[in-house]
Parts: sequence; structure tokens; C-alpha cells
Amino acid sequence: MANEMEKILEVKDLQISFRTQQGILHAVRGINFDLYKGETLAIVGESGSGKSVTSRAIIGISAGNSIHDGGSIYYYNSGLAKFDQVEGADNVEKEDVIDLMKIDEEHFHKLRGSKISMIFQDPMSSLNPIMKVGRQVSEALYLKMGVTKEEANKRALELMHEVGIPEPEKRFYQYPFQYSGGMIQRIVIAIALANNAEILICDEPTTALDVTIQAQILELINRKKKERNLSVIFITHDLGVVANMADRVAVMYAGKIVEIGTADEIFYDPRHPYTWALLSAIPDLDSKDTLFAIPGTPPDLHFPPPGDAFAPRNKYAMQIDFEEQPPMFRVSDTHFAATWLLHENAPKVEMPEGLKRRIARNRVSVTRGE
Amino acid sequence: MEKLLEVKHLKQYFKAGSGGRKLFVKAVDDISFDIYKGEVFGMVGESGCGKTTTGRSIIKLYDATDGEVYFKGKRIGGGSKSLAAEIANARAEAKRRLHPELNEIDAAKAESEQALAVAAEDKEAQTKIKADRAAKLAAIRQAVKDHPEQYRLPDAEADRVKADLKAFVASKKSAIRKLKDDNAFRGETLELMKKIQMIFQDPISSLNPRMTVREIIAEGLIIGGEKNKELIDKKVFDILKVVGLLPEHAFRYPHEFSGGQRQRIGIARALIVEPELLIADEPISALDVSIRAQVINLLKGLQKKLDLTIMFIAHDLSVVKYFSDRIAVMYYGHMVELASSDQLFKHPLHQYTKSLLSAIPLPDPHYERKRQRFTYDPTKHDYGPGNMPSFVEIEPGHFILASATELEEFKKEIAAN
Repeated sequence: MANEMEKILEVKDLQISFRTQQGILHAVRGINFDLYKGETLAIVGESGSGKSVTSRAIIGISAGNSIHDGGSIYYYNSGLAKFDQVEGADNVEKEDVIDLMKIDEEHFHKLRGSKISMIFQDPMSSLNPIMKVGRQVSEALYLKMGVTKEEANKRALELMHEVGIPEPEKRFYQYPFQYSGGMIQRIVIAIALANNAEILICDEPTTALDVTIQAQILELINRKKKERNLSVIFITHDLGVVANMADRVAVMYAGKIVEIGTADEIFYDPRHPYTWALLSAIPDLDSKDTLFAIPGTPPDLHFPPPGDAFAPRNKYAMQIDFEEQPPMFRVSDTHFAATWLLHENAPKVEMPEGLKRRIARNRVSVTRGE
Repeated sequence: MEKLLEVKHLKQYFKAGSGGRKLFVKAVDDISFDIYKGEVFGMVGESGCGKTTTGRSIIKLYDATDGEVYFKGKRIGGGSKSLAAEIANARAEAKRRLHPELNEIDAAKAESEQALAVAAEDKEAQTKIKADRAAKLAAIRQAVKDHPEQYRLPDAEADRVKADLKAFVASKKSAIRKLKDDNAFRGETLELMKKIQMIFQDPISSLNPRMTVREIIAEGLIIGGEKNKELIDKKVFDILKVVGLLPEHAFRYPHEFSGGQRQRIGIARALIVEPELLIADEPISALDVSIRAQVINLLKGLQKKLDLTIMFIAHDLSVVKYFSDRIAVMYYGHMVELASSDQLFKHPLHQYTKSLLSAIPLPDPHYERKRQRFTYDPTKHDYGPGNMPSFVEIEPGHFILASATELEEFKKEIAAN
């Protein structure tokens, strides 16, 4: 499916680290993925796995103490002038490609908002508390689109109506504190979409919200994605939300992608022990037995382990897991996992019994539903 | 089964604003439920629905406005607003009987208010109405002076009314004093309150950063009057092992621990005084997915091992379902449904419960693609005078907030199932 689609973003061997008081922290340690037009790619992982660092690198707002150790983020068909630092991309000759890790701030400024936009976790702190909400929406328009303030205001009202704000004429002149959390998140989405961005990065947009409000916001993002053929990068640690939103899923652990595949492949045919552990750690509505708890804590990325970072917490770990990084093994055209268990010489290991039962149960409920 | 905690008509109002804009926020408005010994009682609802407030009122972090809380059959908390209201009513009634002209005065005032509202724009008419009112009031007062026998009760009767009122107020006031005395942290109430402990949501802000883990955990014992240092140390080390930490962790500070470990410290602090009821207020919301399972398993294991009763407050429905025996659903200060967790998920009755259940995303893409969400519209209820909702048991163990007409429909729905 994905191969027929147009590639819009290609992350290649991206490595980012941070200068901290304790030394160099290797937050992202060489990750590769593609983003296609009109798809939702969910990045899952616990806090500190590097998912936010990756997305911040894509939109060019990495923290001041970050170091770009290597790798590139190629952006296809940006419509901006072609730059010369593109060696290595897949199809340099024929297409308009830029490397987001190399362009300067002046050029990035043109991309931010109009090509790539982002929604943050805490909606309350992403708006200016002493500025009227309407002005914050229209500001995005007249600063970028070169329209007059009157036109921008008119367009802002339309946008507010589009994202489902009741009585936008009245709400336009209110301040953020007069909005509820869900309404604020709608405004943030309106601002993110104001300049017709192609890529929308959602960094845990519903973590601070209630179940019912979360459902509304997810529906809104899904609707906008379909209407505008957006490419969405959706960062979250809630696997239920992932199942709802994602076309493809990338599972991150300790600065690396350990498994990537379509939503069905990840949820019904997971291959990496960390994915197994993640899926068995959450109860579903039928769970009765003890949950599988991942022992221990994630590794300290000041001193990244030489082998598979998950090995110390993994009961299936083999000697080689502690010594050497596993490469990405191919499971299918769209499904890859970085675990030595997939090597042809590895012993055959099945996923945990409880998880197997649950997947079977879900399959049954699906066939019964149809 | 033995009732451990009984909550009857609990109300918790908060004052907001001042002067003319003063209002009461009815955070918890008349809820009743029982918690049985050894069960896990789940409580769900969106933020602001009053579930945390309920927990905090039970453990008396707030002074309840009204209602009663019984723990092991003994009243440990509650409010006295209804008694205060009774006193105010009795006083007003006696005043009317002693001064019947007040009724006429009120009527005249109400009449002029209405006329003023009609003639809102017309200044002249308004002045005239005001003058009329003043004249009327003066006439009534004059009449009282001229004919006291028409307006005043005979002395003997008036004295009786006054004496009745005095006795009534005195009895109610002593009742209030007794309630307050019951609520005070001393004697039997204090002993009982030690048996209820709480775990808080945020493991970072609920631990004092300037105290070592030993000090944090031992604080409850020391407040309880324990002076033997060796015994305290032994208990602290033991409880650390129970929650899956090591004795040497006792001399570290909270910042040296990860989120999951800090939540374990919070649990150890609650468990050291050997409680029977544990109120867990969203204990896993602030934790990472992989750590959540550890804490849930720990709580579940402890519940079995120590025979704890847990009141589990959360908004993550799949966790509540997994963990709880019975679940209560709250909506804007009211409890709308209460049932065993299987019953609630299989046959939800209240519209709000249905909408809440339909909003949970599950880690199952096939299910997610087909999930239909309904929205709850509180204006759909046909509530009105004579058809007010009440919290009734519709079938054994299944309570619901419904009016008489709705109850009929629900009964049909149950029969159809």
C-alpha cells in the first residue's frame, strides 16, 4: 500500500544528542523512517525514548543544547529552492529535495507553519494567555500569508467554525482562560492548519484531556487529515489511541526504532519483545490475569548499551543481544523489527501466551462482528 | 457482606466568588454508596465530576457540607448544613407567626418590583410606583400600631412560640455540636481515621523533597505516637520490601527515584499504619505505560495479601475495569450509575455511561475502525417538577439515577436483555 504513495519525508540515520551536566546524552541513535502523503504514522514509546526529540528536529525547534551528530531529514517537493546539500537522498536528480537538518533558520521559517506544523501536549500553555484567541489565529495568517488583517480575521473566523468552535464571533474576542481544555486544543489545531500545512506533527495532543474530549479531538484530527490529505506524525504512549489513528506504527525504545509496520502488523503480529511487553502491559476490557510488567527501567542514555538496549529487561535476550546492535530484519514489505530473534540462526521464540490469547480474542470478536 | 464504608447523601459545596457574585459550586451533590470489605470500588468520570472530591471528603481533607460518612458502623465525618437549614427555617417561621404583617409587606414589595420591571424605561412611572410602595408600607405599619390585637398573638401564645423555637434551636445546635465532636480528630474517630489512607496522583509533588524516604514513610507512625526508633526503622524497612523497594532506599531522597519507584514510596507511606481502606486517587495516571503495569500489579497483589479494601479513582476505564469489583460512574457531582464491573460494561443503562464506554480507545485496530461514539446530551432527560431523578436500585446490585418514567424504560431494557 505504502509503496504506491508519494513519499514526503525521509528520515535517514538521524542521530541527535544533548549536552547535559552529566555528559553527552544520546537521545536519538540513528533512526530511519519514511512518511507518505496522506498517512498517519504513530510513534509509540515511553518517555525518554526520543520520540519528541525526533519530531522537534523535523520542525526545527530542537533545544539549544542539542547536537546534530549525523543523519538527515529529507523533505520532498517543498516548493522551496533546491539546495545543494542533498547527496544521499533517494532521487536527487529529478525531484525537489531539501535536508531539514542542514537548511538555515531563514529558510526553515518559510516551512514552519506553511508546510510543517505541530500541536503540543498541553494546550493551555501553547497559547499566549494575554492575547485574544481570535488574534492568535489570525496572526498566523497575516504573518505568513501576506493578507490584510481584515481578511485574516475573516479567515480566522472560518477556521474556528471549521474546527467546531460554537459561536466563533463571540469566542474570537475571548482570552484562553475562558476556554475549556478541549476548546483550546481545537484552537491550537486551527492555528496549526491556518497556513495549509502538509505535515502535521501531533505531540501527545490528548494526554491532558478526558476520554470523551479526547475522542472529539481525535475525530477532528482524522477529519481534517482526510479533508486536506495531511500527513500526520502522531506521538503518543496510549496504544488505544494508536489503534484508532495510525496507518503505520513505529515503536521507539531508547533512541531507536525497534519495530515499524502497519497498524495491523504491529497489533496482530508483533515481533519485537519490547512491542510484546508494551501490548501485554495494558489491560483491555477482557483482561483478568496478572498484567505483564516490564521489569527494571529504561537505560541511561548517557551511556548507551553496546547491544540491544532492551536486552537487560528482556527475558528472551540472548548473548548477542548484549554485544551487538541488531539490524532491522524484514518481516514483510512494510514490517521491520530490530531483534536478533528474527535472525535465521536464532532459536524460535513465540510471543507471550497471554498476548497470543488476547490477539486471538480480538480476531474472534472481529469475525463475530462482521 | 460486611459494609466497611457507608456514604449517605454526601454533599460537598465550595464557595466561589464574593458579594453579589457569590455562588456555591456543587462539586459533590447528594451521593450515597457503600463499600464492602475486601472489594475494589472503582470510580470513574470526566475531570471535574467530583470523584476526587468524594475521596477527599471521605478522608476529611475537606469538611463535608452535608451528609454522613460511616466507617465500620461509626460516624466519622459528614456535614451539618441540613441542620443549620432547619434552624433557619424554624426561625423564619416563628418570625412570621409573631409578625403576620411581614406577609403583607412582602406582597407589596413583590408587587412593586413587578411593576418596576414592566416600566423599566419610564422614569416618571418608576418614581410613582416607588412613592406608592412607600405609602403602602407606611399604611401597614400604621395599621399594626393602631390595631395590635389584629396583628399580635396573645402574650401567652407568643411566649409559647418563642419558647418552642428556643427549645428547637437548642436541640438542633446540640446535635450540630455532637456531629462536630464526632468529626473531630480525637478518641475513637482518630483511631478509625488511621485505618483510612490515601495514595495521591502525582508521585513527584506528593513527596516532600527535603525529607528522606525513611522520614516520609515513618511520619504516619510518629504522628500516631510511636516513639521507639528501632521499631519504626524495622517497620519502614519491612514495608519497603513489601512494595518492592530495598531497605537501603530508606536513606535516599525522593528525587533519586524514578516515577514508578516514587509511587511505591507513596504506597508504602499509606500502608505503614496498616489501613483497612485505601483511597487511590488516580495512582497511575502520571506514570509511563511500562511502569503502570508494575504499580497495578503491586496494588492488586497487596490487596489480596493484606486484605485491603480499595477505593480506586481513575479516568482510564480499561484499568478500572481490570482492577475493580464494582464501578460507580459520576457526572457533574451526581452518581449516575453503580454496578458490578462486568454488569456495567456489558449492560450499561444510563446514557452517560454508554457515551463514556463508547469513547474508550482500545489497542485493537479492527475494533477501532468500527467503533461508534455516541454523545451524551443532559438536556434529553424529561426531568421536571414531580419527575425528579433519584438514585435507585433497579436490579440487585445495579443502581441508577433515573426519574420514574425513565425507570420504566430501563426496566423494559433489562427485561429485553
